[in-house]
Amino acid sequence: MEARLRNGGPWFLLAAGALGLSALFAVALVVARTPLFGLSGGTFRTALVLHVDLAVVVWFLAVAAGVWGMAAGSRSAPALRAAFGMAAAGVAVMLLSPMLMSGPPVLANYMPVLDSAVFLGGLALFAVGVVLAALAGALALPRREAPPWQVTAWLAALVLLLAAGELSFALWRAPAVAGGVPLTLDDRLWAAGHTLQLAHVLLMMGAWTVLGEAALAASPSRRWLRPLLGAAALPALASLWLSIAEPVGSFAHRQGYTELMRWGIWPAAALLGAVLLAGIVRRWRAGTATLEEAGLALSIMLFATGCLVGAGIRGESTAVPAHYHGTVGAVTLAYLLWGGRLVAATALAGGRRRLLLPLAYGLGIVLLVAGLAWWGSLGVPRKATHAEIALGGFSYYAAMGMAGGGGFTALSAVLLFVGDLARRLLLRPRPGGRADVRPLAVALTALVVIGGGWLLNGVDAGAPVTGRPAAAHVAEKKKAEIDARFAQGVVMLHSRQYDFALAAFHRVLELAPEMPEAHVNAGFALLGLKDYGAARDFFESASELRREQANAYYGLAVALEGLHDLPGALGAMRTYLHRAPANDPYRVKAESALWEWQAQLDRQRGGTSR
Amino acid sequence: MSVADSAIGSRSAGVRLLRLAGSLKFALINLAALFVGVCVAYLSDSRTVWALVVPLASSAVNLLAAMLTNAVFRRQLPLLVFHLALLAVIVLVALGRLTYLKGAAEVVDGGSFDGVLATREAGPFHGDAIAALSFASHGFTIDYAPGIRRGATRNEVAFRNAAGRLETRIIGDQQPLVLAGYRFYTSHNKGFAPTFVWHPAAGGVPQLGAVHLPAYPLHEYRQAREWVIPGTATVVWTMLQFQEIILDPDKADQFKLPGEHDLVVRIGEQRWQLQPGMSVSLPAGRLEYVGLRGWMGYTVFYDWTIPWLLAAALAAAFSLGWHYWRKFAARPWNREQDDGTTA
Repeated sequence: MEARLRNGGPWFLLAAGALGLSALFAVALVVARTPLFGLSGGTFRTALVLHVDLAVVVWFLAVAAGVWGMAAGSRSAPALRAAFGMAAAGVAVMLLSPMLMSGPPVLANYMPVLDSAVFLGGLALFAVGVVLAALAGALALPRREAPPWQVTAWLAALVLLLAAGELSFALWRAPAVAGGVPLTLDDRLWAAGHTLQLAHVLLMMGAWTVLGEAALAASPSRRWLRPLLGAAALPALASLWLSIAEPVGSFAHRQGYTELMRWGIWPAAALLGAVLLAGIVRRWRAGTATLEEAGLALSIMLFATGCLVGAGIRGESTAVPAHYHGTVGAVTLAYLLWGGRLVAATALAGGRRRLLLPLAYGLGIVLLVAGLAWWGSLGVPRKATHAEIALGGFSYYAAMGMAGGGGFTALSAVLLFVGDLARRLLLRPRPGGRADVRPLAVALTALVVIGGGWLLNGVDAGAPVTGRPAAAHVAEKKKAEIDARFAQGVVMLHSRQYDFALAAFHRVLELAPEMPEAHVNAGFALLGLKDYGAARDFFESASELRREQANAYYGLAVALEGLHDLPGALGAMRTYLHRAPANDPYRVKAESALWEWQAQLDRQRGGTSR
Repeated sequence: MSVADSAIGSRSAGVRLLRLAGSLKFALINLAALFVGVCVAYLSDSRTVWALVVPLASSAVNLLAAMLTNAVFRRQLPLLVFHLALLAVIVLVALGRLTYLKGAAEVVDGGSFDGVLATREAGPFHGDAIAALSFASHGFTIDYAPGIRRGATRNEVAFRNAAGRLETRIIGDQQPLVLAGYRFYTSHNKGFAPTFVWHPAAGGVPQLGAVHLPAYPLHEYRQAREWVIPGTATVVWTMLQFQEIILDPDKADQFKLPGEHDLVVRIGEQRWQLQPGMSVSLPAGRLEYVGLRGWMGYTVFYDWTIPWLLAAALAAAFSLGWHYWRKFAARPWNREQDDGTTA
C-alpha cells in the first residue's frame, strides 16, 4: 500500500488542495451575493470559473490521476512524478493567472475558462499532466486477480484518453465555423465534457467497490462484477461513434451526447449501487455495518437522487443544479471516504473525523439537492439571485433555507476535512521534537493575504448609471442571446443548414420556452430534416402558445402531409388561409397545395369506393 | 585550520549576523529611522519616497531575521502568522511607496480624459499605464445645502470595459471610476468652460476647444483666464459675466450653468462681448464662441497594494487576537491529569 501511495499520494494532496480552494471560492461567491460586500461582475465570474474548475476539473481529475498512480507499478513512478509536477504547476498558474493577466471569463459548460494566455497555459499544463497519468494508468493492465477498483481505473484511463482525443479534435481539427455559425467553446467542450462524466462514474464505481468490500462479500456471487464494470464503460464506444459521425456544434452532436448521458451513463452504476445497498442493509441488520458504509449508502442514494432529478428536468430551473450537485456530490463523497481510508493507512491517521466530515458533507448535499429540486418545482430559474426572482411564500423560503443550510453544511465539512488534513500534514511532529509550525504559518498567511487581497480588490467600485434592478440587467443579457441565436437560426434555415438551425432554435427555446416563433422555426428546421413527427409537435405547441401564429398552421399542414395525414393537412392549411393576411406570400403556394391534396384525397376516396 | 573548520566558522558568523539583524536593538534603530523618515516625508516638499522605503526595507529584514532565528516562532502558530502578516504589511507599504501615483485631471462635459494629468506625484517605479486610459464625461450634478455647503456629486462617465464594451457609471467623491487600478474621484474642483471653434484662415480642420475658467464658486469673482489660440501666438483674455444667482445661499440648490451670460474676449486692445453663436474675425482666422459647458476636476489615485495591505492588516489583527486568546483565555487549572492528580 505504501508503494502505491507514493505514486498516488501527491495527486491526492493536489486534489484535496483544489477541493479546499474551490470551497473557499464558493465562500467568495456567497460574499459576492451579499449586498454590503458585493464583488464586481468580473471578479464574481472569475471566482465562479475558479470554483468550478477546481471543484469539477482539478479535484476529479487529480483524484483520477492518483488512482491511476496507485494502479500503475513502480516502473511508471518517474513519469508520474513528471506528470504531477506539470499538473501542480498548471494549477498554480491557473490560480495566479487573474493577478498576472486579466482575461474575460467564458462560462462554458463543463470547463469554464478565463480567456487569457496565462490561465489557458496553466490549464493546458494541468491537462497534459493528467493525460500522462492516464497513459500510465492505461498501460497498467489489470490482472485476473486484480481488485475491482483497478479494473475501473484502467477503464477510466482509456475513457479519459478518448475524451482527450475528442477535445484535441474539437479544439484543433474541427472547423472554426460550422454551417455559417462560429463554434463556441461550449460546442468544442461538449463531447469531451460528456465523455469525462463516464470516466468519473467508472472511478466512483471503483471507490464504491473499495468502500463496500464487506457488503459485496455478502453477495452470493461476484462473478457478475467484472462484466458489469466492463458494461459500464460501453457508452464510450457510442461517444467515439458520435465524435466521428456528427459534426461538432450540430444539433445531432449535442443531442447525441445528451441522450448518451441520459440513457448510457447511469444504469451500471445504479445496478452496482442497488447490490451494495442490499449488502449494507444485510450488514446493518446483522449489526456489523460501519459508519463508512453509511457514507457509502449516502453516496449511492445521492447518485440515484441526482439521476432521478435529472430525468425530471424541464427547462432552465434550479432542478438543473439539483441534478448535477447530486451526482457530483455522490462522486465527491465516495472520494472523500476513500481518501479518508487512505489517510488512515498512513502516519497521519485521521480519527473519526475522516468519517464524520464526509458524512456531514453528504448530508449537506442531500439538503442542498432537496432544496434546489423543491425550488425547481416552484419554477425558480437557475443562475438568478434572490433579488431577481419575484417569488415569495413559505415554500419558496423553506426551499431556499434548505438549499442554503445544506450548502453551508457541505462547504463547512469540506473546509474542515481539507483543513484537518493540511494541519496533520504540516504540523507533523518531528522525530524526537515538537511540531514546526512554520510551513503552516506561511501557507495560512499567504492564503489570507493573497486570497483576501484578491477578493478585496474585486469589491465593486461603482454602480451602473441607470440604476436598473439586476433582474432587468439579466433579462437584457438573456434577450441579447435570444436575438443573436434566433438570427443565426434564421440564416441557417434559409441556407438549408437544418441541423445547425435546429441547434440554434433549441438554444433559443432553452432561454425562451414560450416563444412561438422559435417553435415554428424549429418545426421548419425539422421539416427540412424530414422529421415530420417532431415538426408536427413543434407546430402544434406554437399554435397552442399563440392561436393567431398563421405560419404554424402552414408548417403543421406540411408536416401532416409528410405523415400521410391528408385530412389533417387540409384542415391545417385551411386554418392557415383563414388566418394569414391577404398579401401573405405563401397564400398562393398554400392554395395550390390545398387543391392538390383535395384532389389526391378525392382520388383515394374514389379508389376506395370503387 | 581545516576546510571543515572554516565552513563551520563562516556558518556561525552567518548565524551571528542573522541574529544581529533580527535583534531588538536593530528593530529599535529601524523604528527611529522610520520616525525620522515620516517626519521628513511630512515636512518636506521634495520627493521623499526613499526616506520611507529604506527604513521599511530594513525593518522587513529585521523581522525576517527575527523569525528565522527566534525558536519561539517555530512553536507558536498565531504569533508567527502575526509576524508574517506584519512583514507583508511592511513590504507592501514599501512597494506601494515605490509605485503609487497621486494626481489631478480636468475634463469638460462631453469631452474625454486622454491620459494627461494636470498635476502628478508618483513613486520612482510607477509606469506609464495611465497614458493609455480614457473615459468621457457626460455631465455632472452637484447638490448644495443652504449656506452653499457642497453635498453629493454625481458625474456620469462612459468608458470601455475589459471586454471592450462601452459602459456608463455614475461616480462621485466617494465612488470612483476604476480603470486599470487607477481610481478617478470627482473633487470640489469644477467650473465653467466657454467652448470655441477655431477656423484657421489658411484652411485646415476647424478645432474645437474649451477654456477651463477658475473653479466655481471658490473663485466666484475671478471668472477670467488667459489662453493662446492653438497654432498661433495670439493671447486671448476671456471673462464670463452673468447676473444669475447660480447657488442661492438661502436654500438647497444645485450647481448649474448660467442661462443668460456674456463672454468678454480681449485680444490686445480690442474687446468683444460674445454670446453663443457669435464669432470674432482675426487675421489668422475666425474664433467662434459655441457656448458654455461645465468642467469637472478629478482626483486620480493609484496604489495597487491597498487591498492586499488591508488583507495583511486584518490577518495581523486576527492572529494577534488569536495569540492573546490562547495566552490569556481562562483554563481550568485543576483539570485532572492522567495519573489522577490535578494540575
